[in-house]
Amino acid sequence: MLFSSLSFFIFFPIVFILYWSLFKYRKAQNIVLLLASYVFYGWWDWRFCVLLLFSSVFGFFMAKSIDQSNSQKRRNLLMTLSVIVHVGILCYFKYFNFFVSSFVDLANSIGWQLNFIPIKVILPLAISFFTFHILGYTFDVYQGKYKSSNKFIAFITHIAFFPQLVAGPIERANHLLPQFESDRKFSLPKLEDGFMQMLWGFFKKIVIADGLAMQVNYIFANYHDLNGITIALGIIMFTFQMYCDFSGYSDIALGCARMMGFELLQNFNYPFFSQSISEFWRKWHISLSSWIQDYLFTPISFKRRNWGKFGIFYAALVSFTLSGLWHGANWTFIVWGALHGLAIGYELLTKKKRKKVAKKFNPIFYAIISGIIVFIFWCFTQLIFRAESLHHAWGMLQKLFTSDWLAKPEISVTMLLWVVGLLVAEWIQRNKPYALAISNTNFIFKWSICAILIMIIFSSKNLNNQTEFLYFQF
Amino acid sequence: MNTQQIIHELNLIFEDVIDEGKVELSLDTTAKDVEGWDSLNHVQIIYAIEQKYGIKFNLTEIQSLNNVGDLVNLISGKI
Repeated sequence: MLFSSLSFFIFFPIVFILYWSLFKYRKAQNIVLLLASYVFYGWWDWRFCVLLLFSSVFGFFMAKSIDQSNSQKRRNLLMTLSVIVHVGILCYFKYFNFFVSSFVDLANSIGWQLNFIPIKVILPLAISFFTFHILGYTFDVYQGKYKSSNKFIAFITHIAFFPQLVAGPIERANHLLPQFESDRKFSLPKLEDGFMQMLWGFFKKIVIADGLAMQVNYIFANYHDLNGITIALGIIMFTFQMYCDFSGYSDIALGCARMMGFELLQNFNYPFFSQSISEFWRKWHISLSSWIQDYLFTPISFKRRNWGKFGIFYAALVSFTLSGLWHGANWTFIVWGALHGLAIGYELLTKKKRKKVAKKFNPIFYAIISGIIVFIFWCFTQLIFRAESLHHAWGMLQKLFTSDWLAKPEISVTMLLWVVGLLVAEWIQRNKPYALAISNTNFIFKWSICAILIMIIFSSKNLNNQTEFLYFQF
Repeated sequence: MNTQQIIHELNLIFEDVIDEGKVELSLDTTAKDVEGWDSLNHVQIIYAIEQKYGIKFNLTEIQSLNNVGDLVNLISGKI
């Protein structure tokens, strides 16, 4: 069920009323949320629910067995089994065809004659998100950071909790699970704040992301016939489409959860004002970057700590390449991740040198130049991320640098103005958790802004022409 | 070796690895309080401590540290 679909606008009020009418009965509230979450997920395909239920139940009992085991050997064995089962399921549904076809291509390139007919596998929505959620919990229990949960319903509900299930934030059990194990209090200010964050998310998704999507799709499909400036603007537009689509989804998820008394992890923190790639990653898809940091980067860098800075460089490269692969079975994602790993490694190795250079310039000038360089690098990698193949990305890059930059760009000025407006709003509100966090302001002011946004959303032609959230495919 | 001595030596290690100027740690100091004490530098700090005291940490130990006090206790328990 899409957040921006009519079905959700009927589904959510029903769940909301039923949920709060049971405010005295926490267990009943959890059951309502559990059923609602499986209906929400099963709306796409009911078969997905079977896999989600299996992964959740398996995760619950494995963590419990690890926790109860006194023998380190047995704990290691159970942890390995958990990784094999969860990653195995993920690999089968998401990567099987990719790995086998890549191997066959490699074999054929060295003269072997192999054939491979891809098997038909339906990719279950959200599989990467809930797999990481459950694996993170199991790792934490294995490392002794937390005790395993004894509350089965609360546990499987917190995994399936519909606001965060399909595209995150990738929650941590120690953050979300205790909220399911304790009572929620109805709060009008929280309800208002949640509503505003949802509204801001819908605005970013429907008005900006969907508006940009039409142009971006056209430019990426027809780049052969377009001039350089149009292609460059198309790449920048995709960067903002992705941002508004994904951060819009996160805002809706956080707002929706807050209306029901839950706090989810903040997933974005105004990334476009970053002055380094490392800083960008602390502000973009925060829940994934912190997951990668805790469960991949730190263990790898710790193991290679005697390599000095090159150990960190190696850990960054491996972690980001794997994070690229997490996004999907395509070489574009792997190259995208590796480039970010290299950029972070470069920043680390040149930290002292860059600090010396920075001292020679005016700090504001240096900050602006750094911000522009980071933005250009991000846009360049987003081109690879969005392209259908590396060949497609290379073709666009060639066309970008060999065609006319002085010609008239074939893009919508209105959409560019929306993007500029968004950046201005974000700059003004950069110390708030989201740009429409105005619930503490004057009553007339805040509700006038909300009314205007609602009118813009409902008058948008994109409302009848919506695209699925981009991160659903991951 | 007492707590103050360890903290004094940790100040020097942090200053050397982070390279952001003078560092003054206390038992309550957390990563948020020290500019430059991020995930990239954390492992290097840990390695420098291992070298200094001739001790070894494991991953679980370094991931369960909440503040400098925890780190000092961990070091005291190993030297």
